[in-house]
Amino acid sequence: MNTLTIKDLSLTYKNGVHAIQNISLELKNGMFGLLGPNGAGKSSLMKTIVGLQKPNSGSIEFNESDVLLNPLNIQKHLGFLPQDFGVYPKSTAIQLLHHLAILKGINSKKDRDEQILSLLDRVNLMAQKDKEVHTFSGGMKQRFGVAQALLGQPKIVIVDEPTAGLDPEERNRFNTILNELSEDMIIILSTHLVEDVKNLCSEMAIMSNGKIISQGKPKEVVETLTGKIWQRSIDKNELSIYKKSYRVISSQLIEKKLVVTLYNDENVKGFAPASPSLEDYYFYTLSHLQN
Amino acid sequence: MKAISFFHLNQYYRSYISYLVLAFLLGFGFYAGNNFNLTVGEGVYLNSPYTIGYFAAMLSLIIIFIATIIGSQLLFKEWDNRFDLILYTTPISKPQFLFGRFCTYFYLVLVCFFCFYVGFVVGQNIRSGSEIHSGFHLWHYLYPFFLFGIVNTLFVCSFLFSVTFVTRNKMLMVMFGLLLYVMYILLLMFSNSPFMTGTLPQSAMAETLSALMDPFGVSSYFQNSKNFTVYERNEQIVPLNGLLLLNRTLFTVLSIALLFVAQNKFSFSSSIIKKKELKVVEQSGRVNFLTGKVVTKIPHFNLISQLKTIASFANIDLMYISKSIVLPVSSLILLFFIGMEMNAEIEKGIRMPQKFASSGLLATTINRNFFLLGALFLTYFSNDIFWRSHLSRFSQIENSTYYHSQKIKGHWLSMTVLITFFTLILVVEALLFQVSYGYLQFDIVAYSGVVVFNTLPLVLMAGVLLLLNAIIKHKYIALGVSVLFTIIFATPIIKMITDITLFQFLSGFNGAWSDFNGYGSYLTAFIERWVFGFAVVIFLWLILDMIKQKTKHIYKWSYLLIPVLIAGFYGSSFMKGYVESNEQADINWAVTYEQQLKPFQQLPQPSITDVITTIDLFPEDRSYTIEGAYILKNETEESISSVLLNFPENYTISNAVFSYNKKEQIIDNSITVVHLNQPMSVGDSASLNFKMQYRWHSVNGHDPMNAIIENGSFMRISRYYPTLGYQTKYEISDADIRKSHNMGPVSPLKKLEDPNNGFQEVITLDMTISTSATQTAIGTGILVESWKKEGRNYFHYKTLDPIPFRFAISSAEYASKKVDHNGTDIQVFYSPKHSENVEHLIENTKLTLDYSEKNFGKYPFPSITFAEISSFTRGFNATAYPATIFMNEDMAFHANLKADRQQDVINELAAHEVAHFWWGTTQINPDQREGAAFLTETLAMYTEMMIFKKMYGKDMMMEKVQMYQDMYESQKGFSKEVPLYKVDSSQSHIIYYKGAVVMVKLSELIGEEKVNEALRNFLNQHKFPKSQPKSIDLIEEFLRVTDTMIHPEIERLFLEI
Repeated sequence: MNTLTIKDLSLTYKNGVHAIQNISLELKNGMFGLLGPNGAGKSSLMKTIVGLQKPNSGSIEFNESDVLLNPLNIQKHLGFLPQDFGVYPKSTAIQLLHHLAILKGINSKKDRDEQILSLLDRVNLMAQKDKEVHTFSGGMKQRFGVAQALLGQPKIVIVDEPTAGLDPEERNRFNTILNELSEDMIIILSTHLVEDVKNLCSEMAIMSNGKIISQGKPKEVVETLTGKIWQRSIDKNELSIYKKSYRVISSQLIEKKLVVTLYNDENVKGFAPASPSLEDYYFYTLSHLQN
Repeated sequence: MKAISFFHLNQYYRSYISYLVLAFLLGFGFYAGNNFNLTVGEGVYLNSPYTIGYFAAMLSLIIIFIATIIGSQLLFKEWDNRFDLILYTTPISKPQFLFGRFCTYFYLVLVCFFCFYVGFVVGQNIRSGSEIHSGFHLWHYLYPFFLFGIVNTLFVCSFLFSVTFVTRNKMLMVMFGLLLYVMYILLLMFSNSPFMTGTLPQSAMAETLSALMDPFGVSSYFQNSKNFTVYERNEQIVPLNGLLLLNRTLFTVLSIALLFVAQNKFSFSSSIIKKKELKVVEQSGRVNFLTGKVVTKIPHFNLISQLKTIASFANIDLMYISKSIVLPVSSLILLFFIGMEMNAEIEKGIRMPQKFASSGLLATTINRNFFLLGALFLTYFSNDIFWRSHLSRFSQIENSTYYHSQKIKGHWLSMTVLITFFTLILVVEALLFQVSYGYLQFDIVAYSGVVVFNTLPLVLMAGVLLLLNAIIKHKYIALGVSVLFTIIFATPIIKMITDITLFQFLSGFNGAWSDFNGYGSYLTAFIERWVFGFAVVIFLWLILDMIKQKTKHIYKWSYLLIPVLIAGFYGSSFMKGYVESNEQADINWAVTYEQQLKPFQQLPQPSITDVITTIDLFPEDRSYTIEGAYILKNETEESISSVLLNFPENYTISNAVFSYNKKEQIIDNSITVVHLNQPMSVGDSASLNFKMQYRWHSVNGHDPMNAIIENGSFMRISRYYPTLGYQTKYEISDADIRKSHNMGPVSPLKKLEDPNNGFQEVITLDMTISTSATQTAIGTGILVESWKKEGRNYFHYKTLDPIPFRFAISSAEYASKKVDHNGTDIQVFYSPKHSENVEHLIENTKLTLDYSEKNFGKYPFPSITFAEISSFTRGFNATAYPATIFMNEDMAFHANLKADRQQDVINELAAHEVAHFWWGTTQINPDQREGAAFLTETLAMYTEMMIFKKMYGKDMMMEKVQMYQDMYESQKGFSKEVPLYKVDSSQSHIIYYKGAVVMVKLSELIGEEKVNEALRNFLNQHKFPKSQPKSIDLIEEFLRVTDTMIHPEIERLFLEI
């Protein structure tokens, strides 16, 4: 069983931005979802865990080895797919994968060939293995990113916004791979797509402004909203009125009608009760923070 | 358009780095103005309008550097930041965009150069000294700024701008910037620039062409001012007319044309379409992921993994470099530039004969030219590959892997491979040159020197550059610092920072190659220094690594001991025998010498009349010992009460004893005044016995005139024997230093009208030389005897008649050839590799002997010996001593005369040097005064021309005269003009070129027979032991043999022009 323990982790950038504020987490094998809006600090947290930047305070231990003292303790067992990564121009997929495999300690060519070809097949890039990666479409590049993250024998895989740029079918398949892998390793899935967390993750946390503002199992956190979510279609002009009187947690334009969802302990006149979703919980948590 | 310009300008205004850079340029310009002493001729002020213009043109070279750095950032901004997709889809038109961008670019580069130039102006104008003219004239500075600063900025910017917007390739833009620099250096060579010490005289057509083609205007500037006198250079600006006007106009128009090309070729849409076209088209149809477990492999973290990682990083770098167009472009630049140099070294222009395309010649050409260019390429490549991961945003993935820290080692490996590749292509080019010129003797040692002197230090340079990039966290600052670092450490500028050659381990090697001696001891010494440097670089890498990893364990820090120990061992081995140079101490010594001992200039001193000496050479050790005995005689008309003895510097005196009147005085200082208990009467004799040793070490370099080396030694050994009396050669010549020590002017050259001593200082010489068993020693005089003893060879030389105190020796593994010509032995000692021209040398010697004996008088010795010496001796092509001529291997013995009969250097040298046996050496031996060189060198030139006429006919001789005329004209503006009869030995263009022209004119005027008659009479009247002649004596002979009607013309030729 692999464990990742983060205690009181904080990071402030030179420009004064508090990217991470006193975050504590304890993760075991399985998929952990990290939700949050843009600028919440998810990527900063990911980069700190993988050793790309140093925090100002706190600790990170992976399988009881201090990661901050020696990032190699986690890098030995790490697969990392960052958000919006680049690649070397003029290098083919297979060349880059071989290079990364060597960096991850797979020094037998036979082993590398076997694993790389298997991964390329798995992510359906076999036909493009000899093409230069910088010419790939967004989806293909993301699949390449998945393949490289799975090189070696990772015990922790961190994926930051992995399904950005993927079409629904690709997203589905990517999620399938991650699901299969999560039995034997820790997978941290950082995303702002609530549905992915709902479908894949056994544990989750919501981040905002560098802090963890909510943590728990998706099903359990959703249940806390049972009986408290109300919905109704209203006029656009009425939205501000409802915002003054109630806690509006989201509003969506559906077929030219504004559907408002609000949180209230009691029945709201004119509103119909709605089954809470993880998305509702997410918006509720953020709005709670704002209030 | 304004928005495009101002947006970026504002960014630069707001950045503190911009101000730092401008301040740096200002400071650097100030330093250059205050310290640089690029003299362009004797008597020409540093702040004369001519010199300012020349400086401004040279300084404008820096524009390439500035424009490339700024351009690599500014011109690629949209593409680097992927903003092009947005910007190009706004309603801005192409001309607006391009013009706006160009204006910003031009403005920024010009401002930078302006700051540098202003700093230079200020720095120069706060100087004082005899080289600075008082008064400040703004126009003298503004005019060259407009002429060179603005026009050159326009050209460089438009050139790089058009390359950028046509190719959209940053590396290519940088390469083309470098190409401009390379082209410029080549053009300087062909323009007869005084800045280029290796400049060869070129034909008038070549000079005109280079004047037109020089993008920086320097060549046309030189051409326009070619005939300026010293006064004109000091007072007048070089006017904007003729070739200069044409050149400036041409490049202004070209600049505008280049901008039009950029506008024509560039397109907003093509840059976007290109990206789309490159996209890989995926197969249509369902994407089918397989189910099942993902295959995993167990990683291993050990030394093998680490090494493979380093190799993988290097492989990735090399794949990138090899696929880029930059590699072929940079290779072509190297091949072209060095190929041109090789060609120039072989062909040698219109004045010199073609050389054999030997491995040594070509290897030294590579050594002299590859290093700096290679270092500049390396600077850019190492910056590019180091930052590639970061800029391509692949670093997030790469840096999260276990072995990411091995990246820098991988970069070092890839740079090593790159340097090796460049070295290899240059060596292959050299081999091809050899084959194409038909010289099929390949010397592997010569080419291995290319690796030792270039590849190895460049590998170190790569290590340091990568370190700089690792420490500096900004790509372009790192690039700027790296370029500065390279310029300082890879050029002679490093010598301004440290004299200690051990710390110059990032420099190349500019030394000689000899077919006798290879690279000599320098090869081993260089390798020792390289190992020291390697240890230093490893030490720095380890420190950086440990700091990054925050290593606390003591045992890991102890690893640092290993490079320290290695550095210590090899450093001390290299520095063995190091003699620290201390300019101030040398000045103080010279001041003290002059102040205390100058009175001896007026005091009578004894003359050396006899020298009996033994010289034991140890070529393998680069050392020798001298044992000598002088007989000293009072040949003055006064008694002598004290004698000033001068022993040479850098010699160890084992013992020295001055004996007079049965009293001995031990000498243990190099400069000693011996006070005699009893004055030495007129005609009385004393003796001096001495023993001293000399040895040189590679760390100090060798004295080219005292080159005791493993094979091919030559020493003008008389220079290193003790001398008597005050020596003017020790006086400080710099007027400012003299002034600061309240000293008057240097001892002037004797005037023509000053009286003679009344006697000639001559000696009889008895010299025994010993050398190693495989070598032959050549001395001065006649070989009386030779023998072997205890594994060494001995040679005993004696002079039959007295000679001036001037003798030399050589020692080498010689082959020899001897012939008898009318009772005179002609013997040639040469390198076994250089037999090609021996016969021709002997034939020309016969010709010269016959001509000279017929026209001037009998040859005074029973034999003539020619001895080839190695190119470790520099400063002359050939030199004559009584009965012996030493010839440098570089000039005569390895000239390819068959390729170009017009440049028959054997004919020239043989005639010239053999002629010295009449004019100079023993028969005519004028003392050091005005016009003395006219009686030796000019007369030797005349004899040379007459022999040439005999061999090749009058027409070819007149072509040669015209060439000498051109060479004289090109140099006369750089020093004060004097007529031949008063020339001093430093004015070589007058002595040799003007002298040859004037003497041929004389022979055309009065006839060769009459000239020879005059010379014959002159010789009979003044040859030893008669009193030493003056130049006016010879002119009187010319007048004596001619009709009075021609006298005004003769006087004009020698006394007026």
